[in-house]
Amino acid sequence: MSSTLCCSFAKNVTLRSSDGQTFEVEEAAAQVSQTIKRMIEDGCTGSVIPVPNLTGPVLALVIEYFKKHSPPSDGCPTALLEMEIKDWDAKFVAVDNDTLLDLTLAAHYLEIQGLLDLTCHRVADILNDNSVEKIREIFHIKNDFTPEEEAEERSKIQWAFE
Amino acid sequence: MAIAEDLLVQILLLLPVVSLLRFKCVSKSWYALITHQNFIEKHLLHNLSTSNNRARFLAHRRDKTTGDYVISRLSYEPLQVLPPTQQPLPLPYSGVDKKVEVFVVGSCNGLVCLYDNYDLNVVVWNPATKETKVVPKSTVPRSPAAFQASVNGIGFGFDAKTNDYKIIKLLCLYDPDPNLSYYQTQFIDHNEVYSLSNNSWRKVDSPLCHIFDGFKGMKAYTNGIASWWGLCGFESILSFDMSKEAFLITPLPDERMIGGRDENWREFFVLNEKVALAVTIEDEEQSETRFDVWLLNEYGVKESWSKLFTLGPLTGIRKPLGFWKNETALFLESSDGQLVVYDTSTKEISNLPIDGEPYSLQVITYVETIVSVKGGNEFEVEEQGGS
Repeated sequence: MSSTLCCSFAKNVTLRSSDGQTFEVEEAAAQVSQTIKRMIEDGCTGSVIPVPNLTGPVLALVIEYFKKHSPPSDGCPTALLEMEIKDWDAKFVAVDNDTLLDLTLAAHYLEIQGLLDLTCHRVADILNDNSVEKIREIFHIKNDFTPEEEAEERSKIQWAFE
Repeated sequence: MAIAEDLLVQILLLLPVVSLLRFKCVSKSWYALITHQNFIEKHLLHNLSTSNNRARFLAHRRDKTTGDYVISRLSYEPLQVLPPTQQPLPLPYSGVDKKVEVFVVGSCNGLVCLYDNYDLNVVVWNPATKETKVVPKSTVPRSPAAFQASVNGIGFGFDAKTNDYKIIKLLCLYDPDPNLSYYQTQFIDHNEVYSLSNNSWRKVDSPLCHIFDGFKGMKAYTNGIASWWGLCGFESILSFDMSKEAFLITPLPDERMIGGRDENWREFFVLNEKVALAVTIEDEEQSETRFDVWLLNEYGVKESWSKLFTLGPLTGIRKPLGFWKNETALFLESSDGQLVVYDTSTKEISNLPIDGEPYSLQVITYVETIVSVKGGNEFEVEEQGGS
């Protein structure tokens, strides 16, 4: 009961994804995103804040992150220890490559520094462990070198591929 | 899905050099991004600012059994030797003759300058990318032409104003006539600076100094200023500003404070971006050594030397090699050529798994980068380098 009482003043905002899904979230939590924070402060968002760069499933994930990382308000401490959050973060980005990239782009667009650091490090770890071919696949990059050009470039730094 | 370039840069900055080299082959746009000067500089600054598990020191020495020179990379915190535990020097310094000694002149932005006691070569090397450049011989006219040159000192550094790497050679020209005694021989100072982006040497003027030990490289290098130990009328450090290309003399503290140089050997290194002087004071009866450590607060100002502390007395220590963490921990070479770390607060000495022939050990601050040894004009240099 006490939690209902202490949180009853929390103000909510509605976020709408590119595919029209809407999500209600505490305003304080959504302000983990600097982009959303500015939109709210500018006061020109109306009742629904559009997030046109994110699809529903990605926005749902980002909101999970918001909730875990929202600053503790008076009387409503998020009593998670730092270690727990770290563990939670690690699990949060242990997703398939496409989802990870979506989250990285979302963190970049929404200016969520914590999530951006987290996803960039995770992407870097994945890059480190993978071949050039696999990286093209992950990032959907077309190889625009001719076979001769690529062979020549590789031969210069053969040792780096061993 | 397109990933914004600034986002891709953020991710790539987190990668070690070997991965970046491989990923140049992903696509033309990745190649352009990774080899762009802008990215190379960002990567350098990123690696300087993070306390990641990357190499921050190089330990150079002559291997006791093979006689070859090798280097090992050490991380900062925790301080440990990174794999591979050692790697050979590049050509032409891999497997040198016994009588040839190879020194690290200095290291700057990931580039390492190597030199030897026979003036055979000067080599600029990036150990992370394995790129090597043998610096061309000077063609600067020396006058009188019949005189021979001996190398008193050599230095390597970065000119931030022109974004160029430079090597300075302090030469002494002398009449090789064997009928002349030492006192009859005329000596002429003649100094030359090499620019990596121009790939050429030219002459610079300097004050008259007699440099000690300078062919082994610089005694200290910090903030674009190289320093050697010498006699410039009085015992001094002679410094060279890589940007201004100007020399500066700083007298050492008075001999009544630090003793004569014949009894009390001097070592120099860098502490908190300033030149530090360690005066060795040996107690032969006790076979103990103390080191008085002084710090130079302002180049050119003798009064700005301040005594920081005394290390020791220590036993079984040959010389200090440099600071690991501020003033609290130092690298030392033990009498048998072992690299050790001395903690000034606990006064404990711990061994690192690195040793070499006595007197051959050097510890150099280092950062892993993709800075090219080719300087500004890549193609021009490449042609000449191949000849």
